[in-house]
Amino acid sequence: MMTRLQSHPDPIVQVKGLKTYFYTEEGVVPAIDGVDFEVLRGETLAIVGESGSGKSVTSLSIMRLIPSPPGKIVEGDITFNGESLLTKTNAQMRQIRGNKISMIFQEPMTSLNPVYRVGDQIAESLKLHQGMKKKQALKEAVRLLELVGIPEAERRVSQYPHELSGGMRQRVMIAIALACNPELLIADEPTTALDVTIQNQILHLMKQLKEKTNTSIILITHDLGVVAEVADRVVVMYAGQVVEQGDVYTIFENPKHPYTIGLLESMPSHKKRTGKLKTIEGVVPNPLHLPPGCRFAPRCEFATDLCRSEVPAVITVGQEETVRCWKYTERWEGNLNEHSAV
Amino acid sequence: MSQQNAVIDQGLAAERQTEWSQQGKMQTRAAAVWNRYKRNKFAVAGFIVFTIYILAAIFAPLFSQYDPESFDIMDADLAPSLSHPFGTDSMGADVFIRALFGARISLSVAVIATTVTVAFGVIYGAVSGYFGRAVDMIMMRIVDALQSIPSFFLLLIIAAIMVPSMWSTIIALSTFGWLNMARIVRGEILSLKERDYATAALVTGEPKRAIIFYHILPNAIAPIIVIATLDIANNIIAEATLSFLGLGIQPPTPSWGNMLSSAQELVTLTTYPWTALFPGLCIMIAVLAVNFIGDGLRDALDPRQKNK
Repeated sequence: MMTRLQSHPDPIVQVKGLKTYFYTEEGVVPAIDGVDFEVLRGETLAIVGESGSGKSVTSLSIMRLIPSPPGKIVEGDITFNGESLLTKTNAQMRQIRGNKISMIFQEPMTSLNPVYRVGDQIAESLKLHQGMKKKQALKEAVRLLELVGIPEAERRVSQYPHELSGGMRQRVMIAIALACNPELLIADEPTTALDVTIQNQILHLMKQLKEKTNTSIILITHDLGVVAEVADRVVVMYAGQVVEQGDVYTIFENPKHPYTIGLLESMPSHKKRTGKLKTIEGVVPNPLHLPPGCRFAPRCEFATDLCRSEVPAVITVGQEETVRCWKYTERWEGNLNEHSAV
Repeated sequence: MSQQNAVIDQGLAAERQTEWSQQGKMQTRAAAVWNRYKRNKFAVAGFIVFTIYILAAIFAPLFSQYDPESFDIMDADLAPSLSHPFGTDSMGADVFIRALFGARISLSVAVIATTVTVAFGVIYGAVSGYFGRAVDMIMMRIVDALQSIPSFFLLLIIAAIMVPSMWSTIIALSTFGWLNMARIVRGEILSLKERDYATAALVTGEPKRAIIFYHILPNAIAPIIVIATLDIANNIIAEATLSFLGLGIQPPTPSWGNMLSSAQELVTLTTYPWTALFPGLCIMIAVLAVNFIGDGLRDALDPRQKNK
């Protein structure tokens, strides 16, 4: 049923058939429903999708921070450097979090603890994972602040978060995330809350740092502009499933899934300024009442009865690309004929 | 939506503040706290008064040649004068020296009982609030149950079972004193643990203990200080009440409460008002001072308060 991507020799993260469900009073919410992808060493993988598509739950699953109950990883596996993260004890996970895998969030305004100086907050992670003494850790904090491009780092370390602007705070968050030289950085909408100009700076910084430290990055975003700028490969998610994945050029130049096509067409462009932007009609389906067939079928302009009744499989197209759509299967033509015959 | 606006507003305010603080010199944390504290004149006054109380209590014997527990019936009920600044009581003991020694007992009882209740209440509330669910449910129902007992009545029973002394009074006050603190802290933690920085700490691999006590709890310092100062004030009054009822500190050992108690008769109050007035004033001023200190500390400990 499932066609696996050509496996790369040594991926840093492998997510295999992951299902994370939330057991709520109204019913079971399949926030992640059979997700497969890999993150290669040194690459930036963008996970794209609307709110509620399961992007953030994916990252929390990797961190093993799904609030439980109500959440639970019910199936599948996540490996990090070849070792399953799901069988690790809590103590082992704590060794990994912030050390091997770290994370930055959307809201730099609230992600820093208001009662501690930024230097202390960076030092905290170094003390925890690298066993540094306070003095040494604070010195390292200054170096990290310089690394993320904060001027007058010497003075900034002893300031409180409220004394810094949003962009600065996001730089501090990045400094904290990079403090222990993680192998993987998960950035959950790192620029969404920032001004456009600052967004650009932060993206540029992340790109630069990735080259310097060779950290792999999972970038979670709904902003295709951001994807185009920094990603190597793209995973497009819709209603808890991966609908398409491939390298960034293929996705932008030759998108396959109608959802991806819709997303790209709804993006403003400098080249063709022709009136109104296209939108994808309709809304993301209620996760409690998912359509029986393809989850995108209710909003898809190509949808047929086949789409509405049977769940499409993930198929490989081209070298590295997968897509979850009936259009790219042998059954599509027959299905269309059937259709026109009616 | 409005939350987002609030965040943006905060951001703008913070940026304005940046300019302010950049002009100031760098300070140590303690210096910054003190700088903010001293801008509140009432808090400074409270601090000075309370310091005087403590010093007076410690050095009580130096202030007067009289003995707080010996009486000279010939000197009973003397009005305030140079030799007896607060007058004497019906037993002929000097009210000033008894008030000084009373401060030792009354303040010790209040401070020790409050330390116990704050420590226990904060830990209890933090654990309950952070772990939530079944843990929270059980821990909070225990608090509910204890709070639904008429506590003053139980206080009387506890005080009555034990041989009345300073320690029995402390135990009696501590037994029920922590409930309020536990409830408030629990509520604070319940909301603070959802903040992004708590998640950020989790993502950094911090153990739960550190997340609760290092990352979350300091953000709840304001309500904790407020409740703690209220507790000190309440405990000063509760000690006075217990002693007044004869279940607290026993004469001849002086405490503000039992001094009031010995002056409770109407005749005494009308004819020799100083025997009640001075211990009463001592209680009132101490409680006020503590409240002012609490107000000042609450603001001073918040680094978001503008530093002038």
